[in-house]
Formats: sequence, C-alpha cells, structure tokens
Amino acid sequence: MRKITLLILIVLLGLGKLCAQGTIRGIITDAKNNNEIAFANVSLNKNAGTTSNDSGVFIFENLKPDRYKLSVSFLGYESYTQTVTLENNNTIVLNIKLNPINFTAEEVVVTATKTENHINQVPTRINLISTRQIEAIPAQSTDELLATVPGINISRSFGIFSHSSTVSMRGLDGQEQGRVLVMIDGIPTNKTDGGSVNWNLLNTGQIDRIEVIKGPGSSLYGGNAMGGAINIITKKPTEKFAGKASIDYGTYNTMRGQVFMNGKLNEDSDKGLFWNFSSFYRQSDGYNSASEADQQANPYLVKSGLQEFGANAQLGYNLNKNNGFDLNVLYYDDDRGTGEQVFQPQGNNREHDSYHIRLKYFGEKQNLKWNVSLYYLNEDYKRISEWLKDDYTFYKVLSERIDLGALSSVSYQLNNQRLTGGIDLKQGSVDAKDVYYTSSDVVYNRGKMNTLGLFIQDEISLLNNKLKLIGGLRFDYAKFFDGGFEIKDPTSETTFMLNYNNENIEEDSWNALSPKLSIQYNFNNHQRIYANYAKGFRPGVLDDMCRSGRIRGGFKVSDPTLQPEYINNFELGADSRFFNKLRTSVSVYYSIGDDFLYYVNTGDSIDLSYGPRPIIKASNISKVEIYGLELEANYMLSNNIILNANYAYAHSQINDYKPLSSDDPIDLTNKYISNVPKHMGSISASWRNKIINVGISAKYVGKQWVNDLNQFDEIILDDQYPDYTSVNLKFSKEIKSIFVNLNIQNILDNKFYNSKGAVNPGRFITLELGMNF
Amino acid sequence: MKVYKLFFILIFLLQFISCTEENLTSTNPFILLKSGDEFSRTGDYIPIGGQIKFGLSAVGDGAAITNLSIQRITDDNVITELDKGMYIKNGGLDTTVVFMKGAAEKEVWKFSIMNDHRDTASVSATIYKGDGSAYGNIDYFPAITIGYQNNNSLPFYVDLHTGNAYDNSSISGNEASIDLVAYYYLNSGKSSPTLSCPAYETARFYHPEISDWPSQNSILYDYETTDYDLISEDEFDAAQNDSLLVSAYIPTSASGTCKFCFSGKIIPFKTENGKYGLLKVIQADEFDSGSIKIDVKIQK
Repeated sequence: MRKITLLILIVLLGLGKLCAQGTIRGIITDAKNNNEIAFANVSLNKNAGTTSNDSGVFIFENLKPDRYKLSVSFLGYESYTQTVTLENNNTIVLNIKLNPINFTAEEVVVTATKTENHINQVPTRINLISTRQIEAIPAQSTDELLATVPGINISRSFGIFSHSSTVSMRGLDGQEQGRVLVMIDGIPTNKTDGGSVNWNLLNTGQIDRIEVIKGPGSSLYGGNAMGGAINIITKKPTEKFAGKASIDYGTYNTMRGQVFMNGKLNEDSDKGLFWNFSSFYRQSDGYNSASEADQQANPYLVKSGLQEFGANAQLGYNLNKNNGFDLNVLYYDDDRGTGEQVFQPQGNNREHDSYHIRLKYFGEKQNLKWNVSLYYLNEDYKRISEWLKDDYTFYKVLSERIDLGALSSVSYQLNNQRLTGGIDLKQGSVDAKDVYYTSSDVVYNRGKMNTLGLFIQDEISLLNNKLKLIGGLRFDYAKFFDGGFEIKDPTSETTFMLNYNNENIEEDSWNALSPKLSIQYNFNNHQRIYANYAKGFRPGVLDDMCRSGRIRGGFKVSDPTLQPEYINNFELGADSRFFNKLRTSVSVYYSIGDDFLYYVNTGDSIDLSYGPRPIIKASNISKVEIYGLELEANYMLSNNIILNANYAYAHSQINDYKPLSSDDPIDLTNKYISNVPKHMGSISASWRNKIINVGISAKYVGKQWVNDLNQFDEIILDDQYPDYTSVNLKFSKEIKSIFVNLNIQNILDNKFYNSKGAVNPGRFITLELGMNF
Repeated sequence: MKVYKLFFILIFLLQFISCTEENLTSTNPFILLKSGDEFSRTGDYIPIGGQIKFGLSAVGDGAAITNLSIQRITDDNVITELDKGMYIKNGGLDTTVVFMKGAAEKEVWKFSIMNDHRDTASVSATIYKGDGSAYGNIDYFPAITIGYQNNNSLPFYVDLHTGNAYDNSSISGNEASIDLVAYYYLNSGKSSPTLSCPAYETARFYHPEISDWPSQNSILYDYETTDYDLISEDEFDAAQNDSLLVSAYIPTSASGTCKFCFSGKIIPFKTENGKYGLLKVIQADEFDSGSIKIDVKIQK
C-alpha cells in the first residue's frame, strides 16, 4: 500500500511540473519483498547520475526531449536497464523492480565441458571469479585476480615488475606454468616452447570473468590441462556505445593510462556488428630488488623499471544470438629491467613483443551447436644480459615463439544427454639464438611440435537432473621435429657446451589417451556431492628438448627423448547452500603422477668457464604422490557485504625415483616437490555502501621447499622458503560518470625473498581516476 | 562522449608505441700494432722464455669495442692467449700485452677486436724462435697466511710481487699493489676456501672495504689446472726458474676467483701486470673466521 501511495505522490508531483521540460522519476524496489531500495545507483545515458533516496525514489528533471538509456545498479541485485523516450514536457514514471542476485545466478560456465552448464551441474570443482569480485580485488595483473581462489599458488616475485608469473594449483610445482592450461576466450595461450604464459598481456579492466577448473582437463583440452584449466573471458559489448578511460599513479612513480570502448550497431537486437577496443600504457621507475648487502657489494645494481603497452581490438558480427563470428587482435610490448646495469643504456632487461590473432565462428541450429577457432600467437622475446666480473660479458637472447592452431567442437543435445566431440590441431615452434657481443659465439636452438587431438564427451542427466554423469576421452598424437642446438664460433663462453652440439636432433613422437569419468548427485537445489576420475598428461616443452644452457645454480642439458608425464586424479567433493546466504564447499583429491617431469641434478658437473657447476636436466621421474584438501565458505551477510574464507592443504612427494644412470648419486625418493606450499588460506570481504566501496583480502602462503634435494640453500639460508601473509585493500567510489579507485597491495609491507634472494616491492599503492562515457 | 575526445585518448596512447627493432649499421673498426723499440715486431727472433711485448691501438668506428682476442698460432696448435670482453665507448683501446716465447720455431700472433655491432678487425705479427733460452728468475715467498672475511687477527690482502700481507689498518697507500684476497663460503652447499682478487665483484661482497679503494687489481687463476691437479707439489717445489710458471698456465680456463682451494692444490696464476706464478695451498680452514696458508712462486 505504501508503494502505491508513493507512486501516486510521484505522479502528482510530476503533474505539477507539466510546464517544465521533461522529467523521469521512479521508485526502486526489491522484486521479491517489495522493500524500497535506498542508495541504488541510477544513471541516464551514463553522463547523468543520481542515487535513490531513503524511500527508493529518484528523479531527473529539466530533461530535453530525447531517447534515454536508464541504468540502475545496486550490489546484491541484477543490474536493470531500460530505454525510454521522453516527449516535450512529459513526465515518465517508472516502477523498477530489481531482482536479488543469489549465489547461483550468473554462474553458468563453459570451460569444464565445452558446453554451457550451471556451475553446480558439473561434477568437478570449478571456481568462478565474477565481474563483481574482479571489481573488488586490488589486482594489478590478471594472475593476481586468482590469489584468493583456494589451492591456487601464484609466483610473482616482483609485483608489476615481474617479467613472468606462474599460476599453479593443487600441489604441482609452483615454478611450472605448463601444467595449468590458460586460455583467453577459449584460446590456449601456454607457449609450446616452455609452457609459460604471459600474464601481463591483458589489463584486468578487459576481463569479464575467469573460470578456474581444478584437476586434470586433458580429456577435453590435452597436454597443458594436466593440473587444471583457467579460462579468462573478456568483456563483450552490451550497448550501442560504452567506454571508460582512466589514469592512475602510485608507488615508485608508477603511472598508467587506459581506455576501454565497445559498442554494437544494433543495440536492441542480438543481430549485427559489434566491436571492442581497449588499450593501456604503464611505466614505472621501479625499485632495487637486491638486498642491502648485495647493493653494497655490486655497484651495478639498479632499479628494475618497466614500460609496457597493450592494445586489444575485436570486431564481430552476430547473425543472431547463437550464431556469429568475431576477429580479435591483441598486441603487447614490454620492457622490464632486471636490476643490473653495467654499460648498456637499458641494462639487463627483458622484452616480450607479442601479438595474437584469433578468429572464432560459432553457431547453433536446433539441437546442434558448433564452435571453430583459428589462432596465431607470436612472441618475440628479447633478453639483454650483461655483467662485469673478470671481464665484461654482454649477450642478447633473441627468441621467436609461435603457436598456431585450430580448435573445433560440436555438441548435440539428444533427450537427456549431450554429446560433444571435436578436433584440435596445433603447431608450436621456437627459433632462438644467443648472440654474444663480447666474444664471437652465437648459440642457436630451434624445434617444432605438432599436436593432433581428438575428443569425445557424453553428458547424461538422469532422475530429473538429480544425477549427472559425464564421460570423456581424448586421444593426442604429437611429433617433435626440426630440432637443433648449434654453437657457432665458440670461445670460452660456450666451449663447455660443445658436447651438446647437435644440428639435427632426432625426431620423436608419442601419443596419449586421457579418459575422464565423473558422477554427481544433487539432493536438492542446495546440496550436491560428486566424484570424478580423470587422467591428465603433459608433454615435454621444446625448451627442455632442444636447448642446453646456463640456468640458476648450474647448467641445464636438453633431452629430446623426454616422454610425456601423466597424472591419475581421484576427487570427491560436496557443496551446500544454506538460506541462500551461506555456501560451503569441500574437495579432497588424490593423484598419482607417473613419469613425472622434474628438474634433477644429475650428479655430474660441467665447467662453465668460471668453475664446475652441477648439470641439471628435465627427467621423467617414476612416481609422484599428491593429495590435498580444499575448503571454502562464502557468506552474504547482507546485500552489501560478502565474505569469503578458504583453506587448502597439499602434500606433494616423490614416491619412487628412477636414477638417470647406474652411477647417478642422486636419490629423490621421499623428497618433497619444491615450490609447493603445504598450507594456503585466504579471507576476503567486499562491502558496498553509499560512502565508499571497500574490498579487502588476506592470503597466507605456507612454507615451500626450495630445491629438489630438500637441502639447505645458501641464498635462502634455509631448506624452505618462509611462510608469509599478504593483505590487500581496495577503496572505490563512483560519482556520476567519474570513478576513483585506491588500491593498496601488501598493506603490511611484508618482505618476501625469491630463490635469487631478491625482495618483493613491498607495499604498493595506486590511485586511479577515471570517467565512464 | 564526443568523438574528438576519443581521438585525443587514442593519440595519447599511440604515442607510446615505439619500435624496438635492432637497426645496427655496418661499421669499420680498426686495430694496429704500435711501433717503437720497446715493442716486438713481426720478424723478430726471440729465445724460448723470452719476453714478447706488443702495443695495441684500436678504434670501434663510433661503436664500443667489446672484445679483444689474442691467439698464438703455431704449425701444430692455436692457443687463445686472451679472449676478453670489454666496453670501450670513447677513445678506443690502447694497451700493452706481454707474453713469453714458446718452443715453436714460428709463432703467428693474431690480434682481433670486435665492436658492439659485431663488426671485427684484426692484425698479425710473426715471431721466430731465437737461439738459446731466456727463462727468468723467480721470487719465492713461503708460508703467507691470510684471514678469511670474518677473521679478526690475520691480514686479508696480499701483494704477490713482494709477499707482503696487509690488514685494514695497514693497507692505506698499498691498495694498488694488492693482488690476492681470500674468503670462505658454501658453493651450492659445498665447502669452498676461495682465492680471489680485489677487482672481482664477489670479493668485494666479502671484503666491502675494497670498494673504497682508489684502484683494484685483477688476477687470473687457472682453475682447470687446479681442479684436475695437473701440477704436483713436487713439481712446484722443484721450480727454480719461470719455465713451469709460464707453461703451467692455461689461459682458456682462467678466472678472477678460484674455488675449492684445499690443502695440496697448486694454482697457476697471472697477475694484472702480466707476471706468471704458482701458488701452493699449505693449509685451508673450512669456516669463515679461519685462514688459508700459501707458498708463492712468481716471476721477478
């Protein structure tokens, strides 16, 4: 009754102003309980805005006759958009009902099955990072958005100054990106050369959501998905034109400018042309990551600064909601110092000059859906290394890494089951050289790997969707060819490598079968249990098969005969929701790894022209045992406050070690896998209110073994890295079309040291000022 | 949003796209042998063990000189006597190098430079073996004891030309004559008594006072001969002239630091001013407040 009175009042007020220009007014209420919603954000064409008052009422007056797009948003509710046409001197009165968001709304995922499924309808552990969560996390890079996902371990030693980062999960080596598949809009981005991913490519503002699939995904995705898969899904246009631009400034004289724009030709239809463009530039003076003692001892240590530029353009055409294609071009270039400068103007540094071209075609007809993608990913990597010891050494690593391929999948809905199949083709290559400028040496390495994958999957729903079964199988065939490691004009810088000179490395091929079987039972809409078995695999990377060279602590020897590693994973999980406010989940997993790829000390040494150093090589270890537990709880305290807490335990140990030779002195049996924290946990909260929105998170990362032998490390001065906790904070405020964000990372200014004894940037603060248009 | 605003933003961002392609133009570096009575010249006859002295002058043609390589080429062998990285941007290279005449009847000495465009230049001189021999005299300094980095009582710094050792209170004024320092550390977990020199970066880490010295000498230790025990203690004890000191030194496996200097090790070295020598480790502690005791034989 009160609402009706208010509406009448609004109408009467509007009538009283008939002589003025047009007016739009309305009341905002909860669609379920009809309660007024105060302080909801209301915007008109994105350049005028207001908030609803205590009674949920808003008003825009003195408007010119025009067509207006009115948008209403409030945390905990689905956003509302309506286009209204205002005639001269008219008053439009709106009764807007916002639908509350519950935990399961918008939780449709595509990565786990290559088909659309609700997150609770897939019998595996999936973590979804939504737009709302992304907005509350003070992340400077894409990987940092994953920090609060249970069981995810991120290795980014120097914050934004890190030229590389690794995201691993569930007890797998934290320095190896190759065991977790990372995709951008479904396109794999792990490089065949080393399995690595450039996490700096994307600006976090481009990301709509991230799907994290835990456990082996090789039955659908093949090699790199052995430990899991991460799909980064970028934003798509929803309006005729929208955009925002911002600048930010922060610690170490860091500054960034970024712009996002997108649009669709036909706003009110799913049909037509759409486009997307975003770009950013960032630079920073950086900081000196060496210890005080190292800085005193080495006069050439300098700050590790950065410059980076990225741009992403997308053009697409939709025939209708479910049929269309799009072309995406991404460009990225960076220049990151690594903290030492002797004579070269930029000192030791690394550059990644990258571009990606992706073409996607998707369609649907009756019960059939299909998806075809072509991609070409290129990275020109350049590293400058210089140092002064007895004499001056200066060389450049120039490496061209190309991955190209085609992905296809077709799914067919047949009553209560959905069949999916597809073919994937990929070629990865590397063509690299180390060019010395202080001696005559040039060291070349090259190699290619072709992969063919065929997969099939069946999703069966029974007992009125209470019971779900998924079975899948993938066959992969791969061929390593055109490999070579060649040293030209060797001097003392490289003569020690001559034993490994091999202009034509023998070809090799292998194949792998990756089955998956999973089952789930939903007791009701709030409780489910699931169990699954999946086998995953990962082939060796080109870098381990065709490049020998110096690495930290020794000399890495290539091995073109490396065989794929395998993992058999068994998992049980359960989810519960209580009163649509609290959601809890638990997962336990047990994995056995066979022929596990691991860097081991061979026991031999080699003279690197500055004394003998241990020889290290990637090797297939007989057996590895990994098991763990993940717990997570989300609580929606109110529509404005969401809390999250999680904990992950992982035990990763080598069960059986196969010696490299009969006189191999190394025995890794019962040693723990390095760079794996046994305990991790995080708590986070986001609170949206009319004064300022706040997001806070704290992450604990437990101790990790430093090396394969689990022995004392002379740099870390321990056999394990110390545990640490990082607390991050974000404040954000939007006033009409202007927005302000204050990001504070590592608020406690804790210092963490990496394997080289280098320290993280400490507390890192940026203030961002931007405008929506 | 007006279109012109978008243009401004785009233009602002596009300012930062810069090409980092390498665009190295071809250059013509140049090297010559200095003339003058003090220097050896092509066609000279020098007896075995006699001194060969070359003066080198080189320019990089606008690019920095980044490498100097010296090869001794005989009918049987090519020995790289020096392959040194450097960075000389301005003024060019101007240096003098000293070697000992070997046993070959004819030695072609080839001097090459490279600049940071990887363009090269070279010059050669041929030296013939003269009559007789000219092995030189040596100095012998027995039982020099040097402290590691955390030793509070023994001297740290040694002048190998005189056998004198100094600590931080007595070093003032003698810095330019110091050739050797010692320290102890764990190398990949392995115990390593280590000999080094003031110019070596790691030595300055363990002895930070060296960073304040007006000059820091370098030295090159032959670690291959050391690691593989190619010279015995008896041979060291028997050396009465510089024949063994010169012949033992392998220039291709030389570094400013020598690790794992345990008792009994014989270490060939060459000082910054070109003197060859041998060290014998008498005793080496394996803790950082300990010391190392050495015998030294060096060319006079």
